[in-house]
Amino acid sequence: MYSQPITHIHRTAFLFALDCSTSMQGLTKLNNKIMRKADAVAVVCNFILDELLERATRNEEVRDYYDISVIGYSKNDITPIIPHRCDRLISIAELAKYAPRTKEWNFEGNANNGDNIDNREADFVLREWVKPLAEGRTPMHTALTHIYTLVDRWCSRPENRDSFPPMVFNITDGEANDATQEELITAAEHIRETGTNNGNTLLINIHLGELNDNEIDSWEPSKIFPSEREFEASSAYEMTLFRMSSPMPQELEAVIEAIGSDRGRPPYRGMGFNVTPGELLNILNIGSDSINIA
Amino acid sequence: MDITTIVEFREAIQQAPKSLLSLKDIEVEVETLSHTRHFAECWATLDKRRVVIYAPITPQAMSYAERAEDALRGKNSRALSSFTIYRNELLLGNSRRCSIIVERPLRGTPLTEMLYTLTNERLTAGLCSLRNSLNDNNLSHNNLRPENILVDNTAAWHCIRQYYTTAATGGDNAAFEHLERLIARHALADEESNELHDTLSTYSTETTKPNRERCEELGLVGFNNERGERVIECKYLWASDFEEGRSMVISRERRAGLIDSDGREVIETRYDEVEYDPNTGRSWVLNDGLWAEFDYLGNQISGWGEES
Repeated sequence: MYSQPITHIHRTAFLFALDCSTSMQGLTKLNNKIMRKADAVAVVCNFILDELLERATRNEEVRDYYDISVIGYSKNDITPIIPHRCDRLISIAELAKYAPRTKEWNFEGNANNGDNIDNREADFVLREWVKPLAEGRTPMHTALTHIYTLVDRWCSRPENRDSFPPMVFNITDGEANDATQEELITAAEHIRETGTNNGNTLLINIHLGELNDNEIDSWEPSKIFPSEREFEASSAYEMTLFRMSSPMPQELEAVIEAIGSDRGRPPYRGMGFNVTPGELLNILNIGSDSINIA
Repeated sequence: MDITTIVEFREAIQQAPKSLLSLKDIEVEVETLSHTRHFAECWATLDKRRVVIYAPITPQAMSYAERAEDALRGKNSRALSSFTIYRNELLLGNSRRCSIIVERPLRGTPLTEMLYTLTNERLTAGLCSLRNSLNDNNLSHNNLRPENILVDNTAAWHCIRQYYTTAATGGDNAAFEHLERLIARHALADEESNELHDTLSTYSTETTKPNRERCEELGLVGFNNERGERVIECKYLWASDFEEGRSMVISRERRAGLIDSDGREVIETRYDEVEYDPNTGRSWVLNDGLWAEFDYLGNQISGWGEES
């Protein structure tokens, strides 16, 4: 299980659900630069999409190794980000045909404290696949219900039956307000029950922390892929995210452990809580790092 | 005609029925106090029936209400709620009085909840019936959102918060299109209808809340976390629920501000009014009769002017 290498025939799918609600206007810090959480999420997602595109490129040809969907949720509804319609996934080769503008990011320097997304350079240029949005309420249940439809349809297609199963990343700063906690858990379970012959869909829920004070480094401690046995939630909401998230398969444990963090013994849960943008990138990288391209 | 503030309204309805001129058989549910852009509101029981009371908090509010009362006068439809202005009914401090509106809706559950529990067919029937009813009565509600629609046990729809109603059709076209999209997305498939009765009887109205529970001490309001630990000291006369990480507060000195979930004053409590909009993260702030707009982080983003 969870071992199918990616080929033309056995592509896999990555889906990203981004909280685009008003509270994402709160502040965070990326490479020593204070910015809105929505901006930081956009940077990290653009970084990951560029990374996936690069991995799928062989001799200047983009191969259909991945199917992608990015949706935002806010204002009582979902917003298509990639592709421009919410009803399907797009192949990485099709994604490559879009040519979004590039944006240069200038940072003062590397923080070397886990807040970085790139240890090599202080400045970099990214294509703006995802633009920041932070308005309205947090209809997470609506987004999860929609994601379920997309992954269920993807997994049902005969050509995907033996593929590495989809990975779904739900990135939020909390406060879903369109459902009870039990309804959120049920919606998440529906997603996790889909899958291929190579394993069930992996749902990874990531809660972004907020800077406690604009002037200094002040983060609540984060939890990344916590141990199932040793997990202790500090709030009902954290427990809800834990229960919504997939148990991570044994095959991915080595990649998870390479991230670091004192998380206890495996098995691990696919969640992050109070994470910084740098840690968010590490979590998202699990997707591209853990699946071998044949 | 006098308008009120949220604090004055709260104090006045706490004194009800003493503070009311004619509505003596009323029991007010003070804990339901909230406000929209132009009105403070509160649920109550009047003559053994649940009603909503609205009081004007902006100078424009009563002109909307009077226009709505004119438009709704003589209309007879189950989709509409009885809507009556009681002039100078509520006694405020300093012997001032303000008018209130009493709306008597039929019993029902907000559409925000019923969207997930009724079938597409039944919701669509409710929507069509409401649209026909407004058309037949030549009315536009002008504020048709799921939270302003109650669904009764026959799945029929009834309007509340009718204070923007006008005597012409057409004002609700975009709202109906949005409601149709919501139904298509959220309603149960028709074949799931066997589950309807169980779902209706067991559906919880609790939604996920931020990790803050309002608490009161010596008449002042603060917030606990979910373990019951005090995280924001009880020092406010009034505080709204947290929405998208912010709560509007009024200090003991009767000054309004905005706090974050750690109690930090994002907008200092030194203004006459603060109206936070969780949909945009922006707030309209009133100071000495002039309004200015502030962003989510408390930065002033417009100059002071007369209109909000």
